[in-house]
Amino acid sequence: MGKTESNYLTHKHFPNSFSEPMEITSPETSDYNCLAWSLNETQKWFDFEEDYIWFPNIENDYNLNNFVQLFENLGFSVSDSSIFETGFEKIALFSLDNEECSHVARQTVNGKWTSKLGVSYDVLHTLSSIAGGIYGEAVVFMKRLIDK
Amino acid sequence: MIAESIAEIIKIDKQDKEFVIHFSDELCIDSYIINYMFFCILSEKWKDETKYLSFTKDIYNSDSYKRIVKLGSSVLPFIFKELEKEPNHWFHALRTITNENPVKENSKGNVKLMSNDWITWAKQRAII
Repeated sequence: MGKTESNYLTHKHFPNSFSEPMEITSPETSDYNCLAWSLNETQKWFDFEEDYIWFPNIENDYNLNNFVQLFENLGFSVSDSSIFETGFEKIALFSLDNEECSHVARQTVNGKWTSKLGVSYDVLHTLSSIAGGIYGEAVVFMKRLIDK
Repeated sequence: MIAESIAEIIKIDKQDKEFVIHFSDELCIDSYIINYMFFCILSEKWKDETKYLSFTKDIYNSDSYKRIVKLGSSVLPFIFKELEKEPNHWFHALRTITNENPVKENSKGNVKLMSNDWITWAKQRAII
């Protein structure tokens, strides 16, 4: 089961978190999911199931290409690197099978990554600390210029 | 109170195993309490299994969630009590069990507002 030590999270669903604990940065909430959090939204759950919010001209499908299209429509382009670049914001798409998107994380200004974990916490983490578990691996990186 | 106590004991005792509950012949427990116990067990299991999942497809696809839906209208009061206590993704279950959808257009995507729409619907029908 989950274990918190002060404000750090380790969990069996994230096996690498036992060597690299994730820092908890919010209370648990079902108000928003990782996709919303990647776009700085904290009042909406983005999903295409009935009653949720989805994006115009994007198919109702969790396919990775669909998520790439979604972020391209928002000004992102595919990047070959996860390394922090001044003036850009980056997101990472995770997948268990290289077909469906299982999770989205957003890079912070210090080069670390932030994720909303389901209906649970926001956490600060490295790419490796959250990988290898229920989300699989970060398989696509995308970036866009930060509006000044 | 009995159901809450039993459910609490089971919650504490469970280790990701299936539950087998034995009742003695003398113990008289009505179907409301049985349903409540099953609901408590299944909803805790559902939350444990899905709390870190990113999208509703996987959250709704849990066996525990499907079993709650199969319990039908008898679990509606329990779901609404849960929603009042803590908004969560009960909407698919509620739509499936009731064949209704009171979520307003401007509530969509906002889990608190969606919960409120359902709670209002339930109160109008004296379900809670």
